[in-house]
Amino acid sequence: MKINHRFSIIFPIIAVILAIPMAVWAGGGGGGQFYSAGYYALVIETGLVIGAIFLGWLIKEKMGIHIPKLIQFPFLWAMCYVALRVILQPPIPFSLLAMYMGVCTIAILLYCSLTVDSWKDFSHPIAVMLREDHAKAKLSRYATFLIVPGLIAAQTYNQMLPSFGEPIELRTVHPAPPASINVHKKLVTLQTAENPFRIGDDGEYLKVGDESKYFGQNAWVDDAPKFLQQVKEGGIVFFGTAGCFFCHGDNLDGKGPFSFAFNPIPANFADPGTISQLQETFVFWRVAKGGPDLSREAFPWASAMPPWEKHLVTNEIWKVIIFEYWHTGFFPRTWE
Amino acid sequence: MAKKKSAYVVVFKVALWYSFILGGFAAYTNWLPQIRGDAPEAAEAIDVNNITPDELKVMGESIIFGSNDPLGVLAKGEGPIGKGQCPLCHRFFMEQKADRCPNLLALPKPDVDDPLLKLTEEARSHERVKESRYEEFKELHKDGEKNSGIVPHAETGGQYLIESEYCPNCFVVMGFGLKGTNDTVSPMPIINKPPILLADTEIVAVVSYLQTRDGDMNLWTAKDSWEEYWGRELVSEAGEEEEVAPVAAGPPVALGSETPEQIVQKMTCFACHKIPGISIATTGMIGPLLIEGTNSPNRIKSAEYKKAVKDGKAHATTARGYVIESIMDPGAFIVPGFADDMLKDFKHKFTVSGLDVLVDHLMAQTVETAIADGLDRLPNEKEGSILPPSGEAKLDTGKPLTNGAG
Amino acid sequence: MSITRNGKKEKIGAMLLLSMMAMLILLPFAPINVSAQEEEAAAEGAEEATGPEMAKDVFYWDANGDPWEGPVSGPPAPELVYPDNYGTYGNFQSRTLLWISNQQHLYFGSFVLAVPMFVWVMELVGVVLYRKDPKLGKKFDDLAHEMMKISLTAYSVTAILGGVLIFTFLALYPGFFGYLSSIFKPVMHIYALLFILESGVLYVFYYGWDAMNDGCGDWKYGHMAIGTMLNAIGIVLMVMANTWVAFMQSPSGVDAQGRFLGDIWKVIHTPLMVPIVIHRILGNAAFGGGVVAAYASFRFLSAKTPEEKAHYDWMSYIAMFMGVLALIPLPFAGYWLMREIYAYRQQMGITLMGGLLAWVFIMQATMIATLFITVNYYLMQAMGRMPGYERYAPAFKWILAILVISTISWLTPHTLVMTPAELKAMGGAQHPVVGNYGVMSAKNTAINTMITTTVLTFILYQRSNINIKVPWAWKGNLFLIFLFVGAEINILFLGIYGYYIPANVRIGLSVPQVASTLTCLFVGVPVNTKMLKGATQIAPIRWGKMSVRGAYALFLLAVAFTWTMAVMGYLRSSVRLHWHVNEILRDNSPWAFTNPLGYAGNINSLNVMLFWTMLLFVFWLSALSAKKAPASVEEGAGVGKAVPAGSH
Repeated sequence: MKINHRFSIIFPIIAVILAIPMAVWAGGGGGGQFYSAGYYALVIETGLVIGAIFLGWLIKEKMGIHIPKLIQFPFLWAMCYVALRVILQPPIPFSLLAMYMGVCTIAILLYCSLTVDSWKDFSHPIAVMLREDHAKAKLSRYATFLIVPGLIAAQTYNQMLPSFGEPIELRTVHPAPPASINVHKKLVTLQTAENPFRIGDDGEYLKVGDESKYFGQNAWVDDAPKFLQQVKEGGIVFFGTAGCFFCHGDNLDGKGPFSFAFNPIPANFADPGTISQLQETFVFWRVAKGGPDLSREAFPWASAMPPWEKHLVTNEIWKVIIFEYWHTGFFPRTWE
Repeated sequence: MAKKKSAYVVVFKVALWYSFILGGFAAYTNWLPQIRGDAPEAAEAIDVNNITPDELKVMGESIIFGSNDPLGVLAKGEGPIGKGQCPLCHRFFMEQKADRCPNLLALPKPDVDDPLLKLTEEARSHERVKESRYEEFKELHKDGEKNSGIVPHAETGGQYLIESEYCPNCFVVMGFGLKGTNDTVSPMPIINKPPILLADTEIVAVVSYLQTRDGDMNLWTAKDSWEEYWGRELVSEAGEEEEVAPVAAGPPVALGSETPEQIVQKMTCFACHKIPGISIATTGMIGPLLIEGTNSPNRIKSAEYKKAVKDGKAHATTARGYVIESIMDPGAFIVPGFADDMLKDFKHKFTVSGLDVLVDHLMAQTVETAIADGLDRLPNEKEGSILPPSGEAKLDTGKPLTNGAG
Repeated sequence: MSITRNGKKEKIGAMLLLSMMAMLILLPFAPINVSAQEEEAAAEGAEEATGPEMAKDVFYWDANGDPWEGPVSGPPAPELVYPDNYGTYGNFQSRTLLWISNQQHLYFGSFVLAVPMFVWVMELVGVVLYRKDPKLGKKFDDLAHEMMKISLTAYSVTAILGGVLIFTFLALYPGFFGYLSSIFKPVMHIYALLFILESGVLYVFYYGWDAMNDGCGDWKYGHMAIGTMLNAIGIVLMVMANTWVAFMQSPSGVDAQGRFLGDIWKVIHTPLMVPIVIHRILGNAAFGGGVVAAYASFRFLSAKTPEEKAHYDWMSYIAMFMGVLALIPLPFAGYWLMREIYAYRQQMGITLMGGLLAWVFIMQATMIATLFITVNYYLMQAMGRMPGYERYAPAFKWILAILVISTISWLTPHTLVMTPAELKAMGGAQHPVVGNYGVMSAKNTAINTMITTTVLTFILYQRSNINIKVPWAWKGNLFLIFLFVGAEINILFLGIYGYYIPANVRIGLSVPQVASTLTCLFVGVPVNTKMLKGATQIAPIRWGKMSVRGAYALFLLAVAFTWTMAVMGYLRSSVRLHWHVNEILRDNSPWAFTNPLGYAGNINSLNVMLFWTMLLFVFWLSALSAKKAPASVEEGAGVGKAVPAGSH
């Protein structure tokens, strides 16, 4: 371990490096304007991480340069920040970014203190900065004690600054459904109800999962199996009778021609977090009763979904659900 | 490591560490979204089969008055008006001024001079269905009354009260029909449709209140009457929670963000006035036709208004000021031919911008817009009809009816 | 051996006395059965005369699929009215007061039930080791003895807090308490009597320790039998206390009006009772390990001699090990409980996982991640005392990286908190990349990966000061590499595959995932242990040389255990929403609302602080008595200086 007081000079450097992301935060999240498909972003990110690891290996093993943990800390931190804030697209909300960065900060601290040596590597310069009495240590001490409170002050200022952004909405997107609902004067118990049009070739109830054999087949041919006939009729509801596609999109991805006008935007059925996480009866409840029947935590006033029971008959609702699952290739959730 | 440490120092350090951890956890939970789960209010009252007549009565009272102490509200000089808006037109207490519709007092006042108060509508309800006039209404609406589609078929007093809510035109009390219709068209809106939109159970609650408001629970038949009248069981429908949710305590307030139509609906102007450009305000027969682009410049110059100014009651100097004054202080000037019937509490119910929206709309209405909407002045407005002679045919005069016992 | 024949006789007498005492205490059970039979007979008689009113059970079904019917044997659940059926103390929220007193009682209850389990295992280990290595065996035995002493003081605190709890119930929630005790009347006194029995057995167990200690002889086994009995009674006690809670969450054995239907077993055996009990036993054990580890860490930090330091370093390690052993199956038990909740009421499940309380699970995920990262960090710190660990040190940062990536995906919520502007920028409520981490498949993958990684760290720990000498070492290493890489590939593959299949099949996937994890644990660790046979040590473990950070990590571990218990308790209580007894007895007090998470966090931190402050007092008390007899602990603790066993 060759650590001497030279390294105490890095404190101001750390402070400045820390100041950059803080300034970005203060700027209210400018940047991040370029969009790319999320999966490419993931690939690029992975590549960058591997590149960074390789670079670290080159510096340490090939060039023989030892970088003290105290210097690695801000660099690692900045790397995480850039990866999560800039490379990961579309931009994640601030709350999630803060959570991730919190984890990363703790993890880097743990990394710096994993072994006795690495902890010394990390803490020794701090001790030097705080204790030693020569000019360099003093200079760095004073600079640190100026910049750190300054940073805190800047952060406080930013927090106190009145902001005019819309308030955060804590909307529960999929709230607990009622035990049963009344649709067209018939009681539907959500726990036990089954989709009457989920029928196989033999006319019997088709177990969830077994419908995968119909995925990708043409539902519009004349001799289509029974199941696909229901799918077709559901499709007619989706694109015709009800016109679901105006909001939920031709590809069921929530990007219909009207979707831009809504806040929150229409549900994206092609996302693995929506219908594939829900029971068919849950979807039935949502379609039949629409936004007004949501519970309070789901902000019934914020949903533009109409109660379709007023425009569709029960069978049409069940069929359009069959269609949605078939089209996206997802399976409804079941509890057995 | 070899340094000697007192146990107290260790305790102190560990306590510090604990505080740091616990503070961190608590801070994190406070940083996460905070959602408070409120217990649903009075959810048990929904079950219509288990609810008692007393509870229905209380529920009906708050639907009618928006409060369970209507007399207290009256004593404060305000109008006790709930979701049902009944007291706008019906008289429930002697202290209250409302004579547009039959009175709904608790007990008949046989010793009062006013013939309208000698009997209450509840007391009379038992006789109504036996009147020959009721048969005439049955005949008139034998294919179903045109707004509700109901053929009058009440057989008992309770059923009559139920029917009146779903189909006000199925029987119109003598002297309370729209003017010019020979008492065949009622000014009352259909209660289970917008804008009042009460649910079935709420209507039963209101009738329960009417039947038992003098305290005699033996008169209560509301639920049975409802089921007999409709021939099916009374069940609470979807949206049950709204039905029983306590009516909002404060009065509705007109906001600048609302359209004139919404304000008129909220403030129930349509109950008394016809207003061009407002689709729901086409039947009001209590107040003048509100074409203030035409009316107000004339009114403010009229001798009657100048007299009111001289008496120190009215203060407006411009046409717009006149309209604002008429809403904020209705008693300042009464249009000749009308009574001082308008509610006095609108000054508490408008925001400044909300008032602007309404006044802008009223000031834009003239004789031309009224004609375009097919609206005419009331007979008791001294300015006279604005319609060309052929336009009068638009008024539904209805078939003359014989006078029944009343 | 210093045990004389005379001594033996005394001991036989003690044993006889003890069993007689046990019989006496068990006596009240008999009349209860008789009276139950009488009641039944009376009920039958009544049936002949008038026929008792029969009512339908809210949960149980008979063979035909119709609701099970039983004779109405109790009053219906009262319609509680505020303020008549609720009490207040000033302006405090009654619910919070009850919460605090309940939580404190629960903490101490868990502690005094967990410590005997811990002690029992330690004693067993001591006895087994004694045959080969009396010194080591003695060391474990003394450790067990020392823990028991702490538990003894805590035991009376538990009883006092139990009294406080009952008074709080009676003062603040008399209506609710009255109803619940009317339902549980048949077993309430069994509970009280068992508590007395538990005390008796506990005292005999503790005070008989030295007298019955003959190394690994019959007396020791006799003593262990008493320990078994102590644990058995303790677990029964805990199960009984749990049935109240389980009944509140998922009542059965009553009709829709809350009338008791005469079969107490159906009241006890509610739909959620078994998973709750299993979950709690495991939780208790982990919690006990955590508390003991914190105690040892505290003594480690304040130790004045190297011997003492070495002893407590060792003790904290053992306690941590026991705690983690119970921690590892805990997520699976929790998973089972959640499945049962969904089966019982889907609404309840969604309220928990996706609705009102979903954020509590993010908090819980944070706690679990904290626990696993802390355990790994502790093990890495602990390797500092094992010369030769440097060979494995470069792997630490990668292990940490795996843990952090798992944590990040484990923490990603399904519902993101964002401003409308952020929502627009993201193009939907779900993020195309991060959104994939918000679902169950990702969570299962993350937790399994974390557990597997923890097992790996432990394997590194085991061999960190060892040069492996077995001839098949390279084969063994290859096997371990294949095992871990294979398991991780399996876990990852199943996790990703889970996105493409229906949920009911996906739930099934968690079984092979868990199987991979458990294989690593139950095959990897034994193989590794086998490889250590005949190995040479680079240097012996330098107990007491662990870094201070390791000790602080153990404190964090202990606090995280305590805090997790608190937050899960809040969750279990909140999921009933505005019910005292779910769908039977409505909470009509002003405190029927569900407190937001932040408030719960504050109360939890307060509770945890209060508990540890009281524990400090308990530790101080036990340290006081230790000062009077320093030889028994301190000498036994010294490494390499163990006193010949059985010399007491």
